[in-house]
Amino acid sequence: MATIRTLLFMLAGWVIWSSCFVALYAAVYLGCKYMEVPLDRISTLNTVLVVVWLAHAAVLVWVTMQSWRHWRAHERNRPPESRFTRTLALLLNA
Amino acid sequence: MSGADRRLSPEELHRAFDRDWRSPPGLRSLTAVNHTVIGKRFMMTGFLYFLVGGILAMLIRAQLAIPDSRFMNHEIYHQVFTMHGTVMMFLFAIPVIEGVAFYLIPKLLGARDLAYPRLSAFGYFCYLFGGLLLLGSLLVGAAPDSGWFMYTPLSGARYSPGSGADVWLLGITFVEISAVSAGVELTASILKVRTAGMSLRRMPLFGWYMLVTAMMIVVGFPPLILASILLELERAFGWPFFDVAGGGDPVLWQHLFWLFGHPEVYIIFLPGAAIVSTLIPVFARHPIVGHDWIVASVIATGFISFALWAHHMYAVGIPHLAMVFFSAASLLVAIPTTIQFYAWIATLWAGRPALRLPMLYLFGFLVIFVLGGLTGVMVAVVPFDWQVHDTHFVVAHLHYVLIGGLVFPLLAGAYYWMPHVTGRMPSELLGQWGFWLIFIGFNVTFFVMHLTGLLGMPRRVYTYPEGLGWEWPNLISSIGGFIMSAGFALFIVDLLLHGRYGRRSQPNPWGAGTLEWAMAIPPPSYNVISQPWIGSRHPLQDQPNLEQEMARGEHLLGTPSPGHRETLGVSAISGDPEYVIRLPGPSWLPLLSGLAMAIFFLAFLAKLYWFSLAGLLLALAVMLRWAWINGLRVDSGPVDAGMELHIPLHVSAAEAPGWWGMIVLLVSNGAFFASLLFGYFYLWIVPMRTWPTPQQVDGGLHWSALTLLGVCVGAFSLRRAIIINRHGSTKRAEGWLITSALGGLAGLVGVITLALTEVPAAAGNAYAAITTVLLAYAGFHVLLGGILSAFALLRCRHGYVSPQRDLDLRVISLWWTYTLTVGLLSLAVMHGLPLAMGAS
Repeated sequence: MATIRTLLFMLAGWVIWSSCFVALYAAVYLGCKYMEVPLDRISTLNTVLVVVWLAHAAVLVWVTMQSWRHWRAHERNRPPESRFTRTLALLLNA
Repeated sequence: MSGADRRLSPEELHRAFDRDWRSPPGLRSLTAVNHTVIGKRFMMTGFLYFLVGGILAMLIRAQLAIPDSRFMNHEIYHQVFTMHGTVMMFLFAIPVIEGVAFYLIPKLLGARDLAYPRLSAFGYFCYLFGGLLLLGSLLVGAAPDSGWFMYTPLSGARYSPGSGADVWLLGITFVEISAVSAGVELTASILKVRTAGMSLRRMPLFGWYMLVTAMMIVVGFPPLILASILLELERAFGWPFFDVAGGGDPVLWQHLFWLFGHPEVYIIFLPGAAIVSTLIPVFARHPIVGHDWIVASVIATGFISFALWAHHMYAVGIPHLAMVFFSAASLLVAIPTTIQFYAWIATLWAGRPALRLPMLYLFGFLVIFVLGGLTGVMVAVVPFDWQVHDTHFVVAHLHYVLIGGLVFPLLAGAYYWMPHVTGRMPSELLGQWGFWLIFIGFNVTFFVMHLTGLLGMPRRVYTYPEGLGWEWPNLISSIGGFIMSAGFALFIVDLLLHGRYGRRSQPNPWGAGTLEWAMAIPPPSYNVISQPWIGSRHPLQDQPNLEQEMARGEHLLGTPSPGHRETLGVSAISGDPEYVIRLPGPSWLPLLSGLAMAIFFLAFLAKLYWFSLAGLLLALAVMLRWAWINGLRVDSGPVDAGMELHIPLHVSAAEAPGWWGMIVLLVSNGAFFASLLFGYFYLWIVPMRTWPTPQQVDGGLHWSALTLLGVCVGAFSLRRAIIINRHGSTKRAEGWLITSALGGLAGLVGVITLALTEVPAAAGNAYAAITTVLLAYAGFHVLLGGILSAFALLRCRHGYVSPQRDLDLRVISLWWTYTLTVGLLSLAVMHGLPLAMGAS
C-alpha cells in the first residue's frame, strides 16, 4: 500500500486537474440546461465556474506546497530513489 | 549461489534453462506463452495487417487520382476507406505497439518474462480472430462502410441495415479485449517484474513510456467497448441509446468514441516517442538530457490526452464555453510534447551524433511530427477547425501525426532491434533507399493534401468533378502514395533478405547501455541466465563484465530450478527484490479461451444469441480452469535466489502480480463504469426533450435493499474469511466463503427481480435501455463475485489456500469491494435520479 500511496502522491496534481476539468465541464452543461445565462452581466453560472476553478486551484497550490516541502526536507537525507519520486511529484504537481 | 551451481559452465546453464523455457515445436507451438514468441507473433500479424491497410490506401489513391473516376463505385469505396482506417488504427498501430512492448519490456527490465504469460497468448488469439473477422467481411463484400469512427445514426440499423456495422462493432470489441489484456499485462509487469536494483529512477525511459501507454490503454479503451456494446444492443434488440425517436442521442456515440479516440492518438505516439528516447542517447553518444522532465512530460501527456476528446466535435454544436476548455487543453498538450522535443534536441546537441540507419528514420520523425504537431495546434483553434473540419486538411494532419509519430519511429526501432531479433545486421544501402522513398513519398502525398483540404475537398467522397481545382493536388498525392509504397516494399525486401544474407551482428552492435543487449542474440528462450543487480540507468556501460557475470550465473536466480520458470518480483518503487515468481509454461488454455470468445462473437453476429451465451459460458469455464491450476498446494519457505538472498515465492507475497493485475483490471472496469454513468447522465441532461418517461423506476426499493444486503454479505464475509484464515483456521474460513457465495446469490436474485419487475421494457425508450444496462452491469459483477467465492471455497478444500497462501482470497476480495462500490452507486443513481427530477 505504501507503493500505491507514493504513486498517488506523484499523480495528485493531475488527478486534481482532471477533477477540475470534469467538474467545470459538467457545470457548464448543467448550467446551460437549468440556469439563465444573461450576456450583459456576470451570471450565476459564471460564478459557480469560478468557484469550482478556485477551489481546485487552492487544492493544487496546497499539494504543490506539500511537494515542495517534501522535496526540500528530504533532499539530502533520503536515498536517491526517494529523491527521484519527490522530484517527480514536485514537477508534476507544480 | 551454492558452490555446486558454480561448477556448471555457461553452456550447461543454457541447456538447463532452455529445457524449462523453450516453446514446443510444430502444432504445439500454439501453446507457446513466452513473451518473445508472443511479441513476435503480434508484430508479424500487425505487419501483415499493415500491408492489407496499405493496399487499401493504394486503392483509395487510385480512385482519387483523377476526377470522375469509375475505378470503384461508392459502395466499395466506402468499405475500402472504412476498412483502411479500421485496419490501420485497430489492427496495426495498437497491436504492433503491444508486440514491441511484449518483446522488449522483459528484456529491457532484465526479467525473463512478463507477469501473466498466458494472458499475453490469450490476447494474441483475440487479436488474430477479431482481425480475421473484420478482414473476412471485406473478402465477402460485407465490410463495414460507415467510416472508421462509425458515427450514429449512419451506423444505426436504419441507415446501415446489413451486417457490416455489426462486424465492426463485434470485431473491434474482440480486438479490444486483446488491447485491455495487454494494458493490464504491461502495467503490472513494468511495476513488479524487473531485475533487482531497477528502481523507478533507474528504469529505462522506454519502460516509463510504456507504463503510461499501458495505463492509458487500460483507461482509454473501455469507453469504446461500452459504446460498441450499446450500439450493438441498439442494432440487435432495438434499445434506443442513440436513436432520437426513442429518446437517445447520436452525439453520445461521438463522446464515447472520442473519449477513447483522442487518448488513442497519444497511445500511438508515446510508444513512438519511447523508441526515440531510447535511440537518441545511443546514437548521440550522450545520456538523455532532462530525464526527470521527460518522465514528468510523459505522465502529463497521459492525463491531458483525456481532456481533448471534444476537439473532434467542434462542428457538432457543443456549448461555446466547453469548446474553450477543450481548445485550451488541446493547446496545453503541446507543452509536454515540446519538452520532449527540446530534450531530444539538447541530447543531440550535447553529444556526437552518429548518422546510422536508425538515426535517419529518427530525423524523418522529428521533421514530420513537428509539422503534424503544428497543424494540430491549428486545428485546436475552434474557428480554424470549423473551416477545415472533415476536409482533406484533417486527413493530412492525422497522417502527419500518426505516420510521423509512430511509423517512422517504428522503422527506426525495426532497424535498431533487427540484429537483436535475428542476430544479423540490416543493409544500410537498402535501408537508406527505403527511407528516402518513404520520406519523399510521404511528404508528396500528404503535404499537398493540406492544400486539397484548404481548397475545400471533403474527406470520404468517392469522386469529384473536374473544374474545382482538386485535380492536380489529388494526382500529386496519388503519385506520392505509390512512391511511399515502393519504399515500404524495399523495407520488406531488406527485412526478408537480411535474415539470410545479412552479416552476423556483434552482441551489442550500437554500443547501447540497456539490458536487452546483455543477452546472446538472437535471444535465448529464458533471456538471461541470471538476473543482474544493477546500480545505474546504463548498466552495460557502468558495470564492466556484467554480461559475462550474468552468463556465468553469478547474479540472481542463476541456478536452474528444474520444471520451473522463475523470475524476480521487485518493489515497484525501489526495485528491491521481494519474491520469486513462478510462471506457467505452455498451455492450450489461451487458445481455447480465444476460441470460446470467437464462438460468442460469431454467434452474436449470426444472431444466434443463446448459442453466443454458450460461448461466453465456455470461456468462463476455461478461464476458471486457467485460474485453478495456479498456485501451490503446500507451503513453501523462502527460496534461495542467489547472492545470499532468500525471498518467498509470489503466492505468499502481499503484493503479488495477481493482486496488482486485479487492481489494474478494476481500474479499467472502473473506466467502463464511469463511461456508463457518463452516458446515463448525458442522456438525462443533454437531449432536448422530457426524460425520464412517466414509466420511470419509482419503486422496487425492497429489491434494491436485497441486492445491497447480498453484496454486503458477499464482500464482508470474504473479508472475514481472509482474517480467520490468517489466524490459522482455513477450515472455519470456508464457512464464511459459503456465506459470501450465498450473499452473491441473494444479490443476484435482487437485481434480476428489480430489472424484470420495476424497469420498463428496454426497447421502449433510452431511459429504460440505459437503466437496464446499468442493472445488468451490477448483476454481472454480483454473479461473478458469487462464482469466485464458490471457486475460492473449492480452492480452500483442495489445499490451495493456507494461512501463508491467501492470494486467491485477497484477489477475490478486491472484486467484491469493487462490486459493492458499483452496486451502491448504480442503485443510488437509479433511485436518486427520479427524485432529483421530481425536485427540479
